Amino acid sequence: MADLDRRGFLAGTGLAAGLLAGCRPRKDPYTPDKPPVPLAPGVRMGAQTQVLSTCGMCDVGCGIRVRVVDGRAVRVEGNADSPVNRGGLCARGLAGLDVLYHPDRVRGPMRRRGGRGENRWEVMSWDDAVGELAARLGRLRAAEQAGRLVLLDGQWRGNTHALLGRFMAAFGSPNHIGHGATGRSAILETVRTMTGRPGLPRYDFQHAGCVLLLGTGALESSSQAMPLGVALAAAARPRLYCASLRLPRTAALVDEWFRVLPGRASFFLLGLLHVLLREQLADESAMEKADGFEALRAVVLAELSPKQVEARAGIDADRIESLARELVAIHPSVVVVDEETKDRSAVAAALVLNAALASIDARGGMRLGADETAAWPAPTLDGVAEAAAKSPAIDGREIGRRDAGASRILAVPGAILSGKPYPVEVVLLHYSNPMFSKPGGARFEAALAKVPFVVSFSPIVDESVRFADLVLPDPTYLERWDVLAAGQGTLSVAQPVVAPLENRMQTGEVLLRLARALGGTVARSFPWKTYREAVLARLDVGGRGDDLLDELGSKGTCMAPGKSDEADEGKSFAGFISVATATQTLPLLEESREFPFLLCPFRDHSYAEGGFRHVSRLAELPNGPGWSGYVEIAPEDADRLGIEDGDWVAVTSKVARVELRARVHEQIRPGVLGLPLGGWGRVVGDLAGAPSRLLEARVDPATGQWLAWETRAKVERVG
Amino acid sequence: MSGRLPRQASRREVLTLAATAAAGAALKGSALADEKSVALARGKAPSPQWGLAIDLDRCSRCQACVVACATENNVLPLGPQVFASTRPIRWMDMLDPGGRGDLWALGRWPAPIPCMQCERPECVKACPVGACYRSEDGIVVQVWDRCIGCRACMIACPYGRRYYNWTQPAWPGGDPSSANPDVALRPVGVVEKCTFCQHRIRAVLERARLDDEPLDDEQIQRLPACAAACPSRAITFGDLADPHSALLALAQSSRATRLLPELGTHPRVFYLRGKP
Repeated sequence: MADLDRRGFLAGTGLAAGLLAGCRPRKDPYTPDKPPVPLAPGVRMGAQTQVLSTCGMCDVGCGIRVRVVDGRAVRVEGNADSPVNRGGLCARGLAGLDVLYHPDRVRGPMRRRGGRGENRWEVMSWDDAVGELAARLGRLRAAEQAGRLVLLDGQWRGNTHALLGRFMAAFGSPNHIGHGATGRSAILETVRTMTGRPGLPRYDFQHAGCVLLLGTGALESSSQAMPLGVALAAAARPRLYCASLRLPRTAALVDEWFRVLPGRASFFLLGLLHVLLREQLADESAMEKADGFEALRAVVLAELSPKQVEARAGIDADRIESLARELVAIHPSVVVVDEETKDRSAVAAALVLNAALASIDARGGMRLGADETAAWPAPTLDGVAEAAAKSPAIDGREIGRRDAGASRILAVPGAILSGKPYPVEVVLLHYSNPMFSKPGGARFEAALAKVPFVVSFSPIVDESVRFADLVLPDPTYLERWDVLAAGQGTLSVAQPVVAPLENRMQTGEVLLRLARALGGTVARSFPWKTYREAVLARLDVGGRGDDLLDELGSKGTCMAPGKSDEADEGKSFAGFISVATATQTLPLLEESREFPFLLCPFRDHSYAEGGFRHVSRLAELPNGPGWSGYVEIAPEDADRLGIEDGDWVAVTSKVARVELRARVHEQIRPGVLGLPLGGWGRVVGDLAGAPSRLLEARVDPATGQWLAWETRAKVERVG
Repeated sequence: MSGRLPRQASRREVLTLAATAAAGAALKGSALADEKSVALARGKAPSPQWGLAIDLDRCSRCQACVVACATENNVLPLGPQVFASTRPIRWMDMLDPGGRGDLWALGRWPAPIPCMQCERPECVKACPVGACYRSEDGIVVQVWDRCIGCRACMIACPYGRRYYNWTQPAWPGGDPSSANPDVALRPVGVVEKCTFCQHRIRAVLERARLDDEPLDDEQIQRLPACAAACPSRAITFGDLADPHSALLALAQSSRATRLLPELGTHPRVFYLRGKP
């Protein structure tokens, strides 16, 4: 090398480079291996496909179309063939990829090392993880203590929910506890007791002439928001009225807002009913058959005229008179109670009013009936499981009931802490993070700390994972296969748009493995090899399975077997079992000098179930919660307290003090603070400042239902 | 409040003026016909001339268009720290006047607001380096690679529809998997804005050319990401030079109005409201 001159060196390297280039395989210069535009290092172009699936950000079941490039899902759009959303999609659904590629995804099954909350984990295989859980559960069963297994389940319908229910029944625990007591139970239970029909009502907004919303859920994040949005595309949209404490910024199309007093919506509705009965505008033919109709009629006519309810409901008597006539004139009219309606008396009054308007199971009206009718043959039960069906559940529900409406989740922390009626050994958390999302979350923290073994199925790290001993991460809805009932008699397919990232297994598959590992009657209740097989068995498609799957594969959606496109029209309204509920009201709200404000918790339009609260695009929406949370306050109150829009304020209730940004908001009753739930994206595990901590977990003792509008608070400027 | 004050003030101004404009339009009738200088009205513009109409009587303000736009165009979330300290980038934003008063009486509900794609864009006049120009199809284009980040265009734009990248865009968790390969990621230090989803338009035009079939108005009414996502179909896209397009009919209806027409910018985005 010493006597190599410069020219020789250059010639040598040139020759070497030429040789090397010649050795490489020639690349086709016309196939791009990079995107046409600069993006990020490592991003390539590649094969492109569109995958049809079903959105899982809420349980409406909108059809989606996901563009996949080189194995990456790059864009979610609506599926125009879906009868639910007809090609449109809401802000939450469009942000679905932020969940799929969330930086906090749990990467695989893991076991806790060190103390709870220390966040130290040991990665394990699925076989070990399922084996460990099976061993634990097997010991409980052997000791005839199967009831000490508790499942908190944030889903309330769908195949995985049903499979979990079947597992609990076969295993022998009555403790399959849903979240309904802080949401849907008010409706599920009232509709069930009054009409004998299961399921949440649905609404035919597209043919309605006049829609009266109770609460703002249908304008924000409830499952009625998409059907209502789609109906607004029609050339003649329905007239839209809303009776609530506040209106969101997404309520621009509401034609008139009725500022009904807190907890008094039922007076307003019964005032409307009074006018219909007095003027003989009501459809009494359907109602006369109902039990107790005469008694209700007498009470409404004697005691609930618009003049008499004016002060109690806070609505002008003349307007009640004219609105009642309008509801009849602009037929069909419908009163809407969506999930956010937690007031049973209002639900009952709405049902009666809809019956009087002949809007139940009618075109442009309210549709009753189960969301899904499919079912498996009954599971095989042994002695342990049969005994469980007759034993009390820890939440104090009616013995023998397993449906979603009967759950009383707010009774769970008390039962665990007191060890009554029996101690709890194992808690499974399925899409449930009560420490964050439930009122009285701190008590859930204390209760779970007392439970020897906690298992979380959460796909994203949240508090349920931090408190767990074993984590069995579910894939997100974009990595799962499933067939879902999507309303209007349709089925919708969920297909994995990408292979499950890293090492996650669908909870349904985990359950099948777990049942097999437990053996005996539990294993016999789950004869299916795969989750897919179990789902097809539940749909009971007979020989049509392949056709059905073909249709689902090509269109993403199809009619359910045995259903037709036509609505179930002409069915009679079975009759009110008890109309007494319609005249009950919530306990009178106490006035308080120390806590002059009433807290009105709500789920804003960016709310996508508690576990996904730190989805950046939703937090950063123009009218979204931001990263610090906010509280809505009326201009009158703000002026009195010297608060300006954007100021930091301290909100204090009897149970907590939280600092939030003030949003001065014209569409809220003075004396009420609007508190968005969910919008709080700070560090996982540190919940001391979460808005939901302000809420008191007071329940109606008769039903276990959360009294959502009974937390009082004060507010003051800070800093 | 600190991060929001300047923006609120300018927006309020825009909206107060917009309300005046609406009143003016209502008096004068059709939004297109009353402006003599519009090239379209004289029938001289070559097809296509892209435009957009937003029906405020159908729009529920659900903000799906905002997320659709951001995910389509790789507009990245900022994260808690940056979000608190800057004006978040939103090609499709909600024009929200803030302030007080009856929202119905004043017509002050928030409204979706993309780039107005003006026929006489102030931003183009302001750009010292030619990074911004108006293309033949009526789209005001920003060339990211040519932009020097002087922000003169942002000052010039009366609608506040341009955004400056104060920080290097970063994917959440550093994972660029959900990147749309059709749209470039803008680097720190350049100004960006709505493109009417130019890449989607180009793809449809190219397909029509290859198939040798004329472009059907039905196909393009929901072409941009915002229009495709809208659940209540409040957003209509189309060719203003096509006499049969749905958009032209909307733009010429008595319900149509535009923001700040007195400035002479001639926006190609029309707002519809009120009884016909």
